[in-house]
Amino acid sequence: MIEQTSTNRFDAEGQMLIRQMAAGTSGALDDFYAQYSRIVFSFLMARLEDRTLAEEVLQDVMLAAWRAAGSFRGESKVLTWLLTIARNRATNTRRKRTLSAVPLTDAVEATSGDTGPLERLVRQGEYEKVRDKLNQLPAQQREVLVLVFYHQLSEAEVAEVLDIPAGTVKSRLHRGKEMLRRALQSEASY
Amino acid sequence: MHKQWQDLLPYYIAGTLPRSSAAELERHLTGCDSCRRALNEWQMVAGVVQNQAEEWSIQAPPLAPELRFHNLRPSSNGFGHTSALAEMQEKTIRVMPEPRKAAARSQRLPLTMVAAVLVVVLSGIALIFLSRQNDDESASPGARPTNQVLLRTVTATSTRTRTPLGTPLPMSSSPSLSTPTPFRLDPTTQGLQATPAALYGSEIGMGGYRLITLTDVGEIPANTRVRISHAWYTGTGWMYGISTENDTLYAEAREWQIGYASDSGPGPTPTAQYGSSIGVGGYPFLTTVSVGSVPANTRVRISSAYYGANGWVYQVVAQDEVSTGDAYDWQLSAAPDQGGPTPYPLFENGLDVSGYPMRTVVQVGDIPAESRVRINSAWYTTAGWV
Repeated sequence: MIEQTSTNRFDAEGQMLIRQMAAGTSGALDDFYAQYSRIVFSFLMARLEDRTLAEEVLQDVMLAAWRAAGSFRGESKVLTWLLTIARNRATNTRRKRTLSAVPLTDAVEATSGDTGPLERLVRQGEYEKVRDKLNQLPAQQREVLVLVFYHQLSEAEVAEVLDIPAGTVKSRLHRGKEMLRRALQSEASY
Repeated sequence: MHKQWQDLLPYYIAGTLPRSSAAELERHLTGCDSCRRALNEWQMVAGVVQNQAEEWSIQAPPLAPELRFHNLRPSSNGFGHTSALAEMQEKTIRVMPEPRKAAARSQRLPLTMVAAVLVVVLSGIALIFLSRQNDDESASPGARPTNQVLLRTVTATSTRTRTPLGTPLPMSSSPSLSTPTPFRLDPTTQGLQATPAALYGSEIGMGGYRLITLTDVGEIPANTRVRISHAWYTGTGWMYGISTENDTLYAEAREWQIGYASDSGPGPTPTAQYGSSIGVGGYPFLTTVSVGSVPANTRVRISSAYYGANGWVYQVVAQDEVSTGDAYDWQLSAAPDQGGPTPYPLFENGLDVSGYPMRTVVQVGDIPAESRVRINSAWYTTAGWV
């Protein structure tokens, strides 16, 4: 998770690296990659669900960022700019994976306000199971959750990166959480 | 009002809420049980998401060696000039420098569509003229007889130094497989290859399972109802990602392996004029009007396309990789310099060939080095053929 308190310093460093890339400074791409590859990779994994594909697209994103460095105007945060590029580069990638044989069920009636199953699983340290459920969410919902909680983007920034209305960010976020909760409820035994 | 508080909760947990809003929310939380329960839920969801994302992040691969050379070229400027693609283009430019220069000049001028077409045609004529001149100049026992072969040779040489695959094993060369890549300049077609029609293009992404398999396809038996989730062009034909009802099985089918179910009937299948340009780098188009956040006369690439009620719609991305828009055919034109920079795939004859005629020289994905493989499909990215 990115430390919120150091966001500004992080962004200033990113902007400096972009200027260096635009100027062709030796090693700038290496530094930029070291700074941002992990963050971009998390987003690509959330969106593409395929490691090999995400690895390929990551290189493609960094190449695109290198090439577009000269056009970066600092109107948005480096992270937002880079994630927008990542979204664009990932748009055309083909998912060549076998579809999940067990579709996420939301048939189980949720008890309003009951956080029992999730709490229990998390407390028991069963992150594996919980993460499985996260990975069974539709990519559109998972990527919004990741952008909000891991990348720490505001609603407006998520909307900008994904090129969707703010209302859609809201609905995907809440739907994602709701599906996660219901899936966990069906998983956990009382 | 209550919903407004709840909408703030995820951002409060993420720490992205402005301080004043956070303080107001905290005051509200002290007196609202249901918001506190919701906060508790969100906290756990956030924990799971952060945990998973953190795990993904540490799995990020190192910078690819073919991108690393950027760091060794301090004299280059950053914009659009020193990519792996540009590396290959530079080798190509040495063969035929003039059309690129003419294009670069014309790119600075605001072009009308008529002018753009004119430049394309003139560039094409210049290209043919120069390629002949080059052939004449390089007339020697080893010289290549045509521009096409010359280009291929130059590109293949540079590709071989970068690709993880080694020298191809001998394989039969079928003329039908030697399809030229998109954007070789042909003055009669303004530089764009005619795109073969995707027979089932109008079914992509549709539900209803209107198609059936005519043969066994992967795990899917013959005579199974399927839908098409996506499709791509391999250079020799369209491939369709198909899945069975409830999406339980997935396979990749060639055109002849699927057909309409008897109760479905074929729908009209239009051709995407720029279908072969989807995912191609190099920003080969100009917008003729403003589309989305992309102004008119801007160089763009097509990231993806879909078939809408009014025809094919291309999702285009400008060179800044941030500006995007949706464009119809008539809102795009070929950029004036599209004449040969797209390199040929080194292993184009290996596409669609059975018998696993290639071998990996390093580990690729899950496949170990020294494994016999076949090429299922290939596509071109800015970093080269994949």
